[in-house]
Amino acid sequence: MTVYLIATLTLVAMAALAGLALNLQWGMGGLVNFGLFGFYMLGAYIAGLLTVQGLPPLVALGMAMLGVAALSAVSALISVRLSEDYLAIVTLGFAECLRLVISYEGWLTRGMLGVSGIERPFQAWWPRGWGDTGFLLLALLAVLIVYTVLQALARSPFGRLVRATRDDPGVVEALGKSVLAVRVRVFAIGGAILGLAGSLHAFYYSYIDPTQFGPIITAYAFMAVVVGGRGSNRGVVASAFTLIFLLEGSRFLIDLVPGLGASELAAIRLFLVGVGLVVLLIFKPDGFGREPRSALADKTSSRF
Amino acid sequence: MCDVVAGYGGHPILHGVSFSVRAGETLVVVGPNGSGKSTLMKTAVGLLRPISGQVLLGEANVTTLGAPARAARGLAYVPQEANIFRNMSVLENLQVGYEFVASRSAPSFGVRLDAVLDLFPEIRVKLRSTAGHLSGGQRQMVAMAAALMPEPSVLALDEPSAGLSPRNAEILFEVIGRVAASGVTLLIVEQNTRLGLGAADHGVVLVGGRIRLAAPAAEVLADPDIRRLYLGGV
Amino acid sequence: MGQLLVNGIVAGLLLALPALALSLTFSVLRFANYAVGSYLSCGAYLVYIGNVLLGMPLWLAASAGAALFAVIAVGIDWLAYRPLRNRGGVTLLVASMGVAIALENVIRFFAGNSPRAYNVPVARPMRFGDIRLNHEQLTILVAVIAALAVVWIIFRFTRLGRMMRAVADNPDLAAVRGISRSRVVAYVWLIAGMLTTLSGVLVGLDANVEPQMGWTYLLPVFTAAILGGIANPMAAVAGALTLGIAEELATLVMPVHYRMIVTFLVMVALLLVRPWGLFGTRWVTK
Repeated sequence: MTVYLIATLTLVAMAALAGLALNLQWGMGGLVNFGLFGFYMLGAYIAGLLTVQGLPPLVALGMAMLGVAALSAVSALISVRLSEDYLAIVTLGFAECLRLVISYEGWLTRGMLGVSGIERPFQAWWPRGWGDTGFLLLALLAVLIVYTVLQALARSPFGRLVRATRDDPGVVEALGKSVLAVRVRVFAIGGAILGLAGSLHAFYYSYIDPTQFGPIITAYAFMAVVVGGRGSNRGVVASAFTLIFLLEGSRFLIDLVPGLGASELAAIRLFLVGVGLVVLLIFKPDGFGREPRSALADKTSSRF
Repeated sequence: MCDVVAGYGGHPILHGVSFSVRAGETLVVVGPNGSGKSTLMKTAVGLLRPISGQVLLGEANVTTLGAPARAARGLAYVPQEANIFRNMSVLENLQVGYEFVASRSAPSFGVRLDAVLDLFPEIRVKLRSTAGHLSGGQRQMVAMAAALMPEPSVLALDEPSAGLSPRNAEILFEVIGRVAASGVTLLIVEQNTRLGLGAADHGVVLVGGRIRLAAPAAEVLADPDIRRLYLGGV
Repeated sequence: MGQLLVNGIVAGLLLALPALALSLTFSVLRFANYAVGSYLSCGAYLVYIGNVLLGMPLWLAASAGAALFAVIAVGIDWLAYRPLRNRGGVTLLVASMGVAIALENVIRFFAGNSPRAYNVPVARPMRFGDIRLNHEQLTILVAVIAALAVVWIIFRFTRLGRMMRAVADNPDLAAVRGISRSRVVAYVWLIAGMLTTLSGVLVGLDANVEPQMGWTYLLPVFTAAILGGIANPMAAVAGALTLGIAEELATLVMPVHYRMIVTFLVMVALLLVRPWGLFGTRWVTK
């Protein structure tokens, strides 16, 4: 049982990171990243390939974060002069093309064979049998760090600026700030977090191949953000937790309901995600969490 | 309009505005910029729902009706800007003006087209041109022509002389006069106070979302305060 | 070379209908419908039910499927998009993605993942000199051109077309001129639904009927629409043809499985250089 719990919690950690990244990009920044899985996958591959080449895993992780951040910045730059709609299709295109390249350029990425034998950071530190727990601790630490950083960011003047570019870009421009620069930065930071999440994925499974990554990841991330409340980091983490547990729990349905195979279950789950997204957007656009305001806003609003 | 409070996003711009236009007469609303003239127009026409108060068209309470329903009851409107379909030809603009509103008993499209083009002979030759490519004055004419196509009983004009040269503005108001003479009720919001009140039977001065003065046009023009503040002492 | 051109034209025609549907809904509703790919798949599967499970000849199944899905599309708009009409920004985008996910997985649940094919008589390809044209391609040619002609006529010459163009041009003015926006919205979805179903059938004829068929068309359809100038429905057709031919020509230098990359590169180039498309009118970038 504990083994199962540890595994699930690790999944929660990775999902939470993806959700936090999207929360920054979309929840706070209003930037729609339909290609999320592609950036996540890139993070996994950079970390995986570099580690397998002999680089220390932590260094590979850092490179992955940098790499995905850079790619995110580029994709934001392509479309950022235009409306937010275009970013959506650019990221989607990026992700699909990335998947293609990874699948076919075997000389670089081992193609469909996948990359195996990926070493985890700090692997040697843990005594026998505690490796998975140790990794979970690492993953949770990552979530904690990212959460703290993002909360600080949200309360900072930069956070205010980001929310302002989401709600009132015209006003921001009029004040002399560059909406473009803010958007690129936000997207890049989110990208770094996605790189981190993807790297953890690679380390955890120790083997990656292109079939592990698909729009499903994007869908779940959006679900987490919508449920958790756009902008609310706490909410996102909580909803990531709930989502994964629901996911894992629903596996038991296969045993309970006759005729329900794994693929049908997967379809039902995703169907519910799709419908859930629409329903929540209509009825609970702010989700179940609350957006962290800057300390200043809290002080002034309490006066009314 | 009866005791209308209207505005955007919960902030009222009009504070309890009441006035009426009698059938066949021309009412001109004047006032400084930002006094709410546009809001008044939008509420009258159905593009903005009032926060409170009523809008009546003839006997009917049309407050909850949107613009298409009001148009079907004989109300036509020419906005100040974006008053033509830029990507459609002049002829198509006139067709659209006619075909969704004209009642079964109305004269045919061809008859109306002739009648309207008589009022605006300059656009007769431009029927096939794309509306967006015409000059400002011509666009204004197309906009008004399109509004007049279905033989409306009430015509609302938002700053008809805006952006026109003085000569063109005079020509336009001359046409407006002819339309009024044919029995159409006119509600006009106009920045050019002299020209506007000159064409009107009654005038309303709107300041800060409230009616400052409502009287026959000549009285409004003669009022010393109004002359000093808004007519520049002319 | 001629063969490449013919293949390119066919590929472009396959894109033309969904690109047209996308541009149409964008011009009237002002949002990019990311569910258009899943509409294509859904339409294809509905016709599959008619053609293979119910035994109807393909043209009949296609007509029935198109009519049925047109209504479904209006329903989806009413349920999912209408409540969000007044929310600004990108909410509708995410909602359309939600719809896309839901639709695709309804298909997966009932039909599974394996590819299927329509029940059509087998025939040998025809030859015109050097150029080979199989029957599916001919069907695509005829069907798309006919559909485009019908849509063009409606758009240019009928009252309905003027209604749609007016709302796309200036929604407030259209309201004032007596046009009911909700009516126009319904008509637009009816037409878009029929177009996407038809294109789904054609894609299914050309390749296979499988759940992700629409998803793989998302990027090309969007690129084609942007190429034509996204708010200009008929120009989307030109965009689609251009893209189709470009993709085919690219196979001279790139392996076939990288078509998507070509599409993507075209999209990126477009967004950087001419975001209003080849045929659109210049608008101001932020």
